[in-house]
Amino acid sequence: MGSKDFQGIILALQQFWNRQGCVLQQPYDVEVGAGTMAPETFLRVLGPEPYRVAYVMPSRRPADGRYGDNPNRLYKHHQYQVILKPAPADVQDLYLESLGALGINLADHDLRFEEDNWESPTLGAWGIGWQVLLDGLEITQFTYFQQAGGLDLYPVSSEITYGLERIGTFIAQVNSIYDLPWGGNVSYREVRHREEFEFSKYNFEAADVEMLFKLFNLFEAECKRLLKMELVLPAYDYCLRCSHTFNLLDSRGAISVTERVGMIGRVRQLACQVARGYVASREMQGFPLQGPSPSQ
Amino acid sequence: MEKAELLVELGAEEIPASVLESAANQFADALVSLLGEQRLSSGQRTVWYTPRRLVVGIHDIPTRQEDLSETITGPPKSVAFGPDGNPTKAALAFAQKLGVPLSRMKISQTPKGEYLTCVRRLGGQRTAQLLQELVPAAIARIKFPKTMYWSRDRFRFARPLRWILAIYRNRVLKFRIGDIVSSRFTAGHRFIGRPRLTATSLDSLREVLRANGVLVDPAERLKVIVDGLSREAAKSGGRLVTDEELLKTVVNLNECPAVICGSFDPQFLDLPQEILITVMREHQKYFSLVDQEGKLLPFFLAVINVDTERREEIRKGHERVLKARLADAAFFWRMDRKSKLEERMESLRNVLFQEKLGSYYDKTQRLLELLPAVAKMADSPELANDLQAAGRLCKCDLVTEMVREFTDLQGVVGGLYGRAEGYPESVWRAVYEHYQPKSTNSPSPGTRAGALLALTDRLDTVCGCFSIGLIPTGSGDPLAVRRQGNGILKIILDQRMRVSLRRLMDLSLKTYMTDWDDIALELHKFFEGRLRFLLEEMGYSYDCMNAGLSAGFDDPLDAVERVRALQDMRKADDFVALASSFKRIQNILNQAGSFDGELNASILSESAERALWENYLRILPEVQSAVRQHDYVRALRVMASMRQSVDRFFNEVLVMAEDQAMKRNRLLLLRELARLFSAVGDISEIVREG
Repeated sequence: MGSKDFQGIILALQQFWNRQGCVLQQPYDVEVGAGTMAPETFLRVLGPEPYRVAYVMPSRRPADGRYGDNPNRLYKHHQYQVILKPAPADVQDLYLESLGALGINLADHDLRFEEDNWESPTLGAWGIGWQVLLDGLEITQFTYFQQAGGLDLYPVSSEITYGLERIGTFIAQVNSIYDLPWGGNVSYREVRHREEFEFSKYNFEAADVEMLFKLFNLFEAECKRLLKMELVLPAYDYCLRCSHTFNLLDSRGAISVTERVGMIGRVRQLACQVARGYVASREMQGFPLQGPSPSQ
Repeated sequence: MEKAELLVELGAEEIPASVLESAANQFADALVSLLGEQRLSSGQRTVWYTPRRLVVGIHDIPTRQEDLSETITGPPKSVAFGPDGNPTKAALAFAQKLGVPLSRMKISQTPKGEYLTCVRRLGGQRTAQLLQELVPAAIARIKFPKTMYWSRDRFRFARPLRWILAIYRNRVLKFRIGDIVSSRFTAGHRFIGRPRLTATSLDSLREVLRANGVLVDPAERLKVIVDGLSREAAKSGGRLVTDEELLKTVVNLNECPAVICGSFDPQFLDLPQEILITVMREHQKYFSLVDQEGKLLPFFLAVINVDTERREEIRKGHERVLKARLADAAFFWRMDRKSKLEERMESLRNVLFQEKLGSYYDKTQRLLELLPAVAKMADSPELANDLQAAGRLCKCDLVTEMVREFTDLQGVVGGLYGRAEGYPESVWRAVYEHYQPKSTNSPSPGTRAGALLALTDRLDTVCGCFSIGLIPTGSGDPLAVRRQGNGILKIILDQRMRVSLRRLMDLSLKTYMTDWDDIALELHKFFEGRLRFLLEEMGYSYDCMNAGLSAGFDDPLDAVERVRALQDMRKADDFVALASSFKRIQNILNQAGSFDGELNASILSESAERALWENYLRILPEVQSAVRQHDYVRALRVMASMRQSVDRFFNEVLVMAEDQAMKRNRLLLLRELARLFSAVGDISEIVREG
């Protein structure tokens, strides 16, 4: 098993996690910086209901753009995100098996779990975990969530975030992401290079700062309005839009020191309110995914 | 008594390298101390660890607690029995509480009088039984800087615990922690060992793990790594850049270490060596190699976590990753140099130093104000211009791509860019060095300008934090103010600067506030704490520290010189004797109440007091001149020569004489002596050794 192109990796992971009983979700259609921010992670890890989900998440980080010139850095990369809630005791073994499913024989490689604790100040979220290094290459972030939206998480979810481009270059043994075969005889370069160039240009040079500041305020106000109406899910979309707008402003160098702290605080406040609202809403629905508790 | 070995292995998901050793030792300490609390002695201990396990073996634990009899004291006899001799309610309640009939109790004589007492015998318990509670308790005592929970029971540890092997007398100790039940099972290396193995003793554990790809003893891993490093270095004709910290890290990151040598494109050698080494070290944990002249070679040594013949692919993987990292660094180096370092100063307005203390631009402005005055104070006014230039540059590298990527290289990068831009060495080197010392064990800046810049930068941080109430407490020290304080003192001592801490503080506090007497007082206490910390690290004993610091430490170098002299002298008999006489003098003076006047030599009637006075007059100038030259050993030695005349004085002369004039005169003489003896420190603090 194990196809050497980019989509082959995605297919293999989909099949593997399908077998583990995951919901195979589709990428969320609002810009996010990481798969963690998609509602299928940020919201589902809250509250008592068990859940298993896997999905690809295109992740946009405006400041990481390199105009398509750098062989290892992208404005938008792809994460394969897996949430197992509650975290099973053999979660590390499952993860290692999934690498086997990609055709990597671990007995002949140098694989390590090195301390790396994840934290997102904008989401009021943090976890404990590792970066996974394969022959020195960071291919995965592995986290046990402890808090999200300022709420303690119980039960604890495990999050596995594969860096798909990294794994792709490892398997294909190429020196540049752009040389990765994507599939169907098309290369990563052919699919995405122009996009990297144009968005780098936009993020660093063209984005209209004044408009973005206005949008940030509008998105924030809309989020608050929706929260009052207890429309938590649409409210969260606007929280995400605030976060992405903030990232754009940041990559334009438009945010001063004092503003920076303040704006992160504002997004966090929204995220925390959404989190509380979401738990309340699930509770009102009787935590439908919880099922009868075996201990009761 | 029969004794046996305890073996516990805590199996976990990968525990951070930096906390492994401490965790394993804490676990062993906790076990020994809990055993002690149960009156169980313990023999030699073995402490092993890998990322996936903490192993503690304790030898020679008696298999049974000794029996114990204890006497419990109840109410006094007068309360326990009424006038009629019958037991009172209090006596009956005591008996009931202990479950012992009153008839088996007796009245005993205690220092406080006669009491109702009961001798209770406790039969010793079986150690194996006790251990089933002690081991979980010891596990709970292990402290980590950061913990997590992972399962329903919310037990906290550094990373999830996955198995516990617990054996005593070759039998499993049964207990439960969180969702884990103890057993005789362990696990081998993740990829080259079997996942379920059995062990019943330390030796069998080590051997079964060895056979399954795990070297559980860190000393063995260290040896494999050190040997591998020197073998690979020799093969490529280079010399290893030694790095003890990195060595320790890689020992703690692997279960089955092996060393491989890779190479990188020599074109990257155009980058400054410091940057290359940091890229390899920080991001990849690689060791570097240099040639005979100390020039970097295009090779690296990586410690991998698997024993395989197929190393070629692993090497290629590591080389690809390093190439990408170095390409990044080369890109940053090129991009950053498109604008001049000093032109970045404006952008520092966007980099926060501390919310209430402003940006790094603000910090830079304060440094520029302080630097000339600090240079003057440190007797180096000729450096004022260089320091002004270095001060303008020093924080500018915070907005370079290179430092954004390699935070650890702050300062170094600024220095390198400064050098590339043609600044004189005294300027760029000051920038380069100004984050040194990184710790109390690492070197402080090598140049005077670097030292002064580093000192001023820290002074500004410490005083700034105190000015807004960010004063370190117990465990709370978010901006590492203590470390900054240590740095200030270390620089002063290493540079042998004669400066006044108070005047330095005044300089800096003036940039923050108008009235700072209270803050200065807090800072005074803070620096005393830091100085004590440093002195302790240098190995000085408490009594010498107390004695030396009691004479002040505003000039820290002088204070350390005094403490050192006291430490040197504390073994000399005459000196120790003098110290105890000094204590006596102080007691007499304290009891004498207030008195004043001038000593009148003409009424010193007895020969012992005259001799003392003459001796005093003879050594006074000698002590004073020694003190002026900071030659405190000589000062103390001269003082110690007074021992005999002091002893004789106390033997022959009655200080508290009937004659008031004579008495006052003798007190005045003692006061003179006390002043003299205090020139180096309060020597009454000195404790006789042994």
